[in-house]
Amino acid sequence: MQDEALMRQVAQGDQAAFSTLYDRHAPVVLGVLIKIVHNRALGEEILQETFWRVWDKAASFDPAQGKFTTWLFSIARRLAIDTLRRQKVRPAAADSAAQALQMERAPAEGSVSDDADRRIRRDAVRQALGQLPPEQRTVLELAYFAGMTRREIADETATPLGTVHTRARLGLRHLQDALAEHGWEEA
Amino acid sequence: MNIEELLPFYALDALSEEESAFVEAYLAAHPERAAELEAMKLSSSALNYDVEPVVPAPHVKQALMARVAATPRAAAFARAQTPPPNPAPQRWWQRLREAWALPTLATAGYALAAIVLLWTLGVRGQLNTATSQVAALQAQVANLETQNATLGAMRDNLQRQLDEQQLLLAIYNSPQTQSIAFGGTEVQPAAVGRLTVAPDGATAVLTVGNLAALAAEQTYQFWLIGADGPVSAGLLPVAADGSGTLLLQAADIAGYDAVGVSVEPAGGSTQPTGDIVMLGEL
Repeated sequence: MQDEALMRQVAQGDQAAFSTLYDRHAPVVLGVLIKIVHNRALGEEILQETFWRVWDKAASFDPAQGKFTTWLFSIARRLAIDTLRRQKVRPAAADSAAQALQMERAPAEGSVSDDADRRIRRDAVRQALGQLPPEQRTVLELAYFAGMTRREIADETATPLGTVHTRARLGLRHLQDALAEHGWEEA
Repeated sequence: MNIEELLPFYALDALSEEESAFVEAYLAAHPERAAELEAMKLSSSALNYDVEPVVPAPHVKQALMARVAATPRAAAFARAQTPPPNPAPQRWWQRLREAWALPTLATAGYALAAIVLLWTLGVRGQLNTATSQVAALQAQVANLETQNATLGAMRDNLQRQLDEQQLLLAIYNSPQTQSIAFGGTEVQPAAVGRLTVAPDGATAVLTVGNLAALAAEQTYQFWLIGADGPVSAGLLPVAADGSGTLLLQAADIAGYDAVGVSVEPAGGSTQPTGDIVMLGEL
């Protein structure tokens, strides 16, 4: 069943539909959260709060406004970045921090088809990101995973603000083209 | 604020509330830019899938589901899923039939339950008996395996003794066999001994008698003594009556000058350390 159909069930109070959505998306969401907050326990706390909000705000989800995953990741990211700001912790660049992070990685639970789907999507995204000029990719990752403002990115990368704007715009456009080339579709 | 600068960061969800409000007001006034923004959002959400998934600990879901189950919405949904009782009105003959049928059904139900209970108890009893029998058989098998191992060891020991006896007989019966008698030293003057050397010169049988009993931590040890000094030829087991036999093999036994028996610590020594109780020339 599609995410959006499951969300209609969740809005009515269907715990089984909610459980299916959790199994389907929690591993990717937790991966993103850990990448942002660099702490597994904290990531799991935010994951729980994210899905609680999915349950609590299910009635306000409108599929006409966008995909469920866009909504879900938006909730998760904002919670994680708010947590970072409250802690006044500024993570290092995503790649180097991720290398230093000790994280328990494991194959995702959920169905085999969900797992295969995630792998296909990840491969496509990685190939597309690999085609981006590194400076554009850095701007996108600092904004998305480190929650930095435009000015903070300019300071972090020692780049004029105008250049940061250009790199963000070009980066998203190039990524869009590369994703289309690799047949990527949003979940 | 410049919308062209802000729009990509809006798609990346990286604007302040004030900046976001500015972009949303702009988009409300310019719906033609919605598709462009949607494409940017699609690209930014793809970044999520560049991350390795991490399976959450089971307690995270358990706590979440418990929290969800406690909400009125979940309870209402669960109630709605329960089928309602049949409210259809009944005719008088249906009520009469039920009035008769219910006790009958109840009685039949109790009887059936009793039968099932008795049958279950019977099956359970048979199962317990069978389980006990299996356990007893397993114990018997283990016991037989132990006995078999013991008998096997006894058989090997007897076979070894038989081989030794046959070798001794062959040595004693050969006309080329040499036999040297020797006696005890002043330590044990009553001791007697005989070394019978087979024709091959490398196999010999030592028999002794009248040797004194030793403490548990001591043993007799037999030595072949040549130009280079004594060489151990083995520990000599001695029975309570003072007799003992040792089958020994060594290169060129006749090439040694003398033989001796000494008292050594249990396990023996590399050179004689205790009293020499028997000594004889070859």
